[in-house]
Amino acid sequence: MSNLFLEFLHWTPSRAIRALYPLLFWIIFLRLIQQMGISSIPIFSGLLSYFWFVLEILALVIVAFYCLLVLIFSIWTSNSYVTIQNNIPGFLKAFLKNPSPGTEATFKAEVRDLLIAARSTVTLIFLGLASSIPTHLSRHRKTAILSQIAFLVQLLALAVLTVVVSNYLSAQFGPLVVNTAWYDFSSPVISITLLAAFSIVDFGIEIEEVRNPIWKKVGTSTLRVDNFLFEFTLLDRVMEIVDYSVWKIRFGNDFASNIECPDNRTLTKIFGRALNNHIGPSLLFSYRYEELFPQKLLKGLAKFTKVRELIRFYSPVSYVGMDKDRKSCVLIATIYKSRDRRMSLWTGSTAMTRNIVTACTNYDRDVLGMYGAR
Amino acid sequence: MSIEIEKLVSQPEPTIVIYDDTFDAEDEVSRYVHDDLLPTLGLLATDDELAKEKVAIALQSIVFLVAESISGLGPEVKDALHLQKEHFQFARAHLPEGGVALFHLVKDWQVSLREYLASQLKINSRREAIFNTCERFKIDLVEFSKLFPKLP
Repeated sequence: MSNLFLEFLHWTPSRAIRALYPLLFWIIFLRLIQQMGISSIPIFSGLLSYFWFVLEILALVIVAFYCLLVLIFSIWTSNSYVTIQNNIPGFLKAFLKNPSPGTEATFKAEVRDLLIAARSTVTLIFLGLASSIPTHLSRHRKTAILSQIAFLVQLLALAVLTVVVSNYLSAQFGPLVVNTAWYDFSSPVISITLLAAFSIVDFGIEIEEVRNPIWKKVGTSTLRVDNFLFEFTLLDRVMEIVDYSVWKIRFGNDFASNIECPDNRTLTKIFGRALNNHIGPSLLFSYRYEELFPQKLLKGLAKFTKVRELIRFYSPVSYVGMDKDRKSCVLIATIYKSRDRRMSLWTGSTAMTRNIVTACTNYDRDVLGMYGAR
Repeated sequence: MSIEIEKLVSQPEPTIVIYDDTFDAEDEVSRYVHDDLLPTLGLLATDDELAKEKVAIALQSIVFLVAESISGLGPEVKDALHLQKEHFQFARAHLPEGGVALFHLVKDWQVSLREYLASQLKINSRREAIFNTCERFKIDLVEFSKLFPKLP
């Protein structure tokens, strides 16, 4: 994809279209069907109305189930940050009381073990599961067929629910849009043009995401197709809202995720400046992939070669910042190399998080932009 | 103590680094380079600010590389560094005296940097090549953009 098109996909309005795509799709698509008189085909409307109620109930059960799963997973993963924040003060006090090469080595190992227990293990379990399901299905044909049927029923039910929500929203807010806009919404040409434009944006972003190494390593072609089909349902968006809410409720604006970030040297300088300005005397620990995912831990993944390769490719780096005076943890950051470098960041204050995010964005835009390397 | 750029930049990356209030120490190095060292370089008695800035970046990078090479925690902890203010002071104090020696050191650093970047651009995307060069030579992205207004 050309850089210009990628820039366009990263543009905030494009992101907004993506967020609302399932609803926009069904609103426009149903309008188009109405305009063309297709909904009057008796078999089509008869079959759907017969199963409509059952599918609605099924969809609600599916959404509730997945939301519960995401809720548990988000609470579990966000707990790792709380565990690190709670345990660092004890280690730091012990080290500062008696600083020596011996206690320093212990301190460094304690922080590393904490990162492994709290973050690396969670990552490995998640990637292990993501990798084992497609492998299992590729070996058991009957299970694969059954799971695909179950998936299609799920898809139909979730599409029905999305249609219900779209109908409700278009009934509530549709007249407002139609009455104020100058577009002729009764024209099928306009509907088709809008649908095509929105679809290009949404599937452009989707194709970008599928090019992510995680898909290449652990994804299958069936999973990719399933992922595209899910774009016509609200499920992904609802799950994202649940996950986002858990992190927001726990950490507010002190936490930021999926931040595009520069190299480790530049990042260390950004962290150093932020700690210096906001905290004062501080310690900043940087742990590379070899420390975060030691051989001992990876041995447990003997069967999952792809997961091991993926982690090696990601080369995660973790930073832990500490306030020497208050003896507390003030920064936790994890950086993963993917198609670009992305960072999850928590700091002790909203201002510090905002400053770091702004600095990363500026470096990315101003410096990499001038080389056409964004 | 002789400084060999090639040896400094080819050392394996440490897996753990502790930055112990190093931001101030780096700031001090920057001030020292700009205020004390640059004026002593007779070869740079020029109005070309960018050229001076490039030399300053090179010297700061060399100080960082030397500080890093002497900051290992000891034989019992492999691949770990604890960078402290003293390491920067030591590195600063061990820069060669005299403009010509410093000039040669900067020249070596520039050649090494250029070669490394060219090799990275052959095997990586532009973004990764720039990132790897910054990490290897301890320069940030802004400094990189001053050294290379255009990629070679």
